[in-house]
Amino acid sequence: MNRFLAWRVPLSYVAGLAFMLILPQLFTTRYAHSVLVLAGIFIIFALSYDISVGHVGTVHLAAPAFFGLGAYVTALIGVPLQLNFILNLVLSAAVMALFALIVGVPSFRLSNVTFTIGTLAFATACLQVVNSAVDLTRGPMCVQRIPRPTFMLPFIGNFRVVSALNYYYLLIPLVLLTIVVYRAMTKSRIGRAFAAVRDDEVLASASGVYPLRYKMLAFIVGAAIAGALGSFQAQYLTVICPTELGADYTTRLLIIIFVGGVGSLTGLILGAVTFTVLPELLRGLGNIEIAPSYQMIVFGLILLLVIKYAPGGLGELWTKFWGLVQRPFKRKTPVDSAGGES
Amino acid sequence: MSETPKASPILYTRGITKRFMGVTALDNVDIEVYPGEIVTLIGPNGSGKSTLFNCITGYIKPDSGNTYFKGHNITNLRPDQIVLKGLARTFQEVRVFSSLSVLDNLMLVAQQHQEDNLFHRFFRTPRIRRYEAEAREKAEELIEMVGLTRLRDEPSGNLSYGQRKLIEFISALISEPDMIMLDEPAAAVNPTMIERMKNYILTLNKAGKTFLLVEHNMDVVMEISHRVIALDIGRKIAEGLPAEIQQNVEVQEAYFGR
Amino acid sequence: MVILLDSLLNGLTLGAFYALVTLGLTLIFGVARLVNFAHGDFFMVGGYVLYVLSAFNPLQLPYPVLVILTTLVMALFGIVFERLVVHDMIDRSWRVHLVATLASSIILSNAALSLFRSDAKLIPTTYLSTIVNVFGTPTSLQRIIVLVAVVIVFLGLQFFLERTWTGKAMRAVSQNRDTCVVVGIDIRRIIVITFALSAALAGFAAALLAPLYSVSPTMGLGVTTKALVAVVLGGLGQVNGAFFAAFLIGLLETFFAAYIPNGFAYKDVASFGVLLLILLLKPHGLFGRKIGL
Repeated sequence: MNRFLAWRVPLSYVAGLAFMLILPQLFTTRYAHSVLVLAGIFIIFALSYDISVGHVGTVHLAAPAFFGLGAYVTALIGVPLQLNFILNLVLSAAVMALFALIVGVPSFRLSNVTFTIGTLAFATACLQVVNSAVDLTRGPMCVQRIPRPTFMLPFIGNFRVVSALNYYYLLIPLVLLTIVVYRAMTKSRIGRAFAAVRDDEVLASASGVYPLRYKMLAFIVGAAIAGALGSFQAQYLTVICPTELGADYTTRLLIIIFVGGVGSLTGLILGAVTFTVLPELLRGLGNIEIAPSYQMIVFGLILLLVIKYAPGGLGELWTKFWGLVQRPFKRKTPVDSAGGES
Repeated sequence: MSETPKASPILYTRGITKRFMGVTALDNVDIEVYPGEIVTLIGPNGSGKSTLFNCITGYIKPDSGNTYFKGHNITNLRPDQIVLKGLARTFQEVRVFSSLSVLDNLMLVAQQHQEDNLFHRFFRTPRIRRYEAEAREKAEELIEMVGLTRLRDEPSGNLSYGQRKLIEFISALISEPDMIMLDEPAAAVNPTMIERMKNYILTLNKAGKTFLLVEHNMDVVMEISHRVIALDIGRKIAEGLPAEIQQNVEVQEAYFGR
Repeated sequence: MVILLDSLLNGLTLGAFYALVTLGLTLIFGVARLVNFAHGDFFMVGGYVLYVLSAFNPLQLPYPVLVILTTLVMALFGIVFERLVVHDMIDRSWRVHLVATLASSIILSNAALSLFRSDAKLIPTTYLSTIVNVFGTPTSLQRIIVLVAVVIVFLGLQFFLERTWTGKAMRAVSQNRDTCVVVGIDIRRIIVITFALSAALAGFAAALLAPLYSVSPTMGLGVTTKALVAVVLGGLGQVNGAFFAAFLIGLLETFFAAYIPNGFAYKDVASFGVLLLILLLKPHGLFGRKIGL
C-alpha cells in the first residue's frame, strides 16, 4: 500500500471512536440516544450478516432467528441463572453457534440455494415455536421483567445500566469488537479464502480450500455475533416478544448490505446508520406517523431498485472516491495482453 | 526425453467406470503414470478425457474402480484433500479468482499448503507473518517467471485469456506438487504462447515434476510426451510412445472414422 | 377410523394446496433458472383478487366464473411481474434473483397489508358450505373440488408439456438454452409465458383454496417456504418429485397436527425436521439425481 496513505486506517479508527464518543453530547435527548443505540445494534447485526452474504456469498435467511433466539436464551435461561451481562452474551453466542452448526451442515450439502431454503425453513420453524410454546416462552404475551445489566465499577460500586445513554456507551466496545472480528475474518487469508469460495467453488477446491468449512465458519461466526446481539437486545428492552425473530429484520439487513455496499466495512456502517436514523428523522421532522407497512414498501422498492441498478451500493462509490483521491500518488499500471491469445 | 527406470507408478487407476444417465462415459479404465514422465491423454471429443481427469481429481466419484496416488487410495477424497497430497490441476475453461489480484490468487494457494491451524489464521502471530512473507516470495518469483510482475496487483478478472492461462499454470506450481495435471495447455493460444508452455513443462519435467496432460494439439503431443494414452468412447484403446500411437490404426479410426 | 379419514382428506387437501403452488415454482425454476421467493405472494394476491371479485360482484357472477377470472387476472399479473422485476436480471447471479424476488415479496405483502387490514379475510362460497359424505365422513364439497382440480391440473400440465409446442419449448429451454437459440426458440418469450402460467396456477390455486383457508397479507412467505421445502425434498428441478413431496408435506403436517398433542402449533417444525433429516441422508432429495460436475 502507498506509504502516504497507509496511516489512514488507524487514523480513521481513532477518528471514528472519538466521533462515536462525542455524538451523544451533540444530541442530548433521550430519544436521540435511543436512536444511537439502534444504529449501533444494526451496525453489529449488518457486519455479522455480511460475513456470510458479502464475503463468502452465501445468502441465508436465518439472521432474525439467531438474533431472536439469542434474546430468548438470555430471557429464559440467563435470567433464572442470574448470569451477568458478559456471560449472557457468551451463552447466547455459544448456543446460536451450535444451532448454526446443526442447521448449516445438511442445508449446504446440495448447493447454496438449498442452504438459503434450509435457513428459511429453520427461521420459519423457530418463529412458530416461539409463538406457540406459550408455556415456555409466553408466546405473543412476551417475556417481561428481564433485569438490566449491573456492573461492579471501581469508585462507584454497583452500577445499573438504565438510560439509553448508558446502553450506548455499553454498546460501543461491542461495536468495536465486532469491527475487529469482521476485519480479522475478511482482511486475512481467511478473507481471501472466502473470496475464493464466492468466486469459484470448483477452483477453490482445486486450490486446497474446502468450501464447506469456510461457508460454515462464516455462518457460525455470524450466528454467534447475532446471538450475542440478541442477548444485548433482551437486556436493553427488558421485554422480549416473538417479533424479535421477524423477517422484517432480514429486509433491513439486506438493504443495509446492498445499499451500503456488499463487503465494504465503511459502506455497511454508513448504511446501518442511514437506515436507522433516516426513518426516525423523517418521523420526527414531519411529525408524520408513517405506518410500518408503508415504510416496508419503501424499503422493498429501494432494495429492488438498488439490486437492479447499483448492486455495489454506497461502498462501491466510496471506494471509487478514494481511488480518485489516490490517483495523483499512484503510477498508472497499464493492462495489455502479454501472452498470446488466438 | 529421459529414460525412467520402471519404478512404481506415482499415479494409477484401476477399473474406473462412470455412467451418466445411461451413457457410459468411462469403461474400466486403467492408466499409469510413472515418476518423471510426461504422459498425454488423447482422444476425440466425448472419449472421456475430462471425465477421467475429474474422477482422478475428486470432482466426480466413479461408479467403480480406484485411483492411487503416491501409494494412497484417493478415490473417495475431496478435491481439496487431493491437492494437499501433491496433485495439482488446471481446467479446460481456465479458471482464476476474478475478484482477487494476481498476487492474492497465488498467495491463497501457497498459504493453503502451509501447515497451521485456525487460531493462527485469526491472529497475526509472528509465525503467520513469516508464512505470509514466504508465500509472497514464492508468488512473486513465479509471477516474475512468466513475466507478469507489472500486473501483480491487478484483479485477475481484468486479464486477457492468455494471461489468465499463465496465472492458472503458476497457481498449479506454487504448491510445489509432485504431479501436475494440465487440461489442454495449448488450447486457444497463439504459437508463441504454446512455445512458452512447452518450455515451462519441459524445464519443470527435467527438474523432476511429473505431468499428465490432456491435449488436442498433436504437434505438442508428439514433441513433449514420453508416452501417449488414447481413449475412445470411454475405453483405453492404445498406449505407447508417441510415434507408435501416430501409426496406430485404431487411434486413426477413432479420430477419422472407419 | 372416522378421524383417520378426516385427517386423510384434510391432509390431501393441504397437500393439493402445496402441490399447486409448488408446480408454479418448479416451472419457473426449470425454465428460467430462478427461485421465485415471491411465489407465495402470487398466491396471496390471487386470493385477494378473488376476495375483491366476490365482495364487489355487481354482475352476480357465479363462483366458477370468478375462479376463471382470477386465473386470467393472475396470468396478466405474471406477465407484468416478469417485465418489471425479472426481465432485466434474468442473466445475473442467483443472489440477485434471490434479493429481487424477496424484495418483491416484501412490497406485495406490505401493499396488501396497507390495502386490507391484517386480519384474515373469509370468502364464503356455496361449495364451501355444502357438505358431502365421503365413505361416511362429512366433508365440505370445496375440498372435493380441490382434490379433483389438482389431479386435472397435474394431468393437464403433463399433456401441455409433452404434447403442445409451447410446452415442449419450455422443456427445451429448461434443458439446453444454447440449442434453443439455434433452433429458433425465443427464450425471452418462453420465460414470459412461463411466468404467466406460473402466476395463473397460483391464481387458480388461490381461487379454489382461499375459501377453505382464508387469505391474509402475510401468508405469502410461509407458503413460499413450504413450496421451496417441497422443491428441495423432491429434488431440484424434478417436477414430479416436487409435486409428490408437496403432498407428503401436507399429509405429514396434518397427521402431526391431528395425532401429536398440540401438534398444530408445531407443524412447521415437523416439516423442517423432516427436511433436515432427509437432506442429511439423501442430499439430492427423495427423487433427485446428480448430473455432472
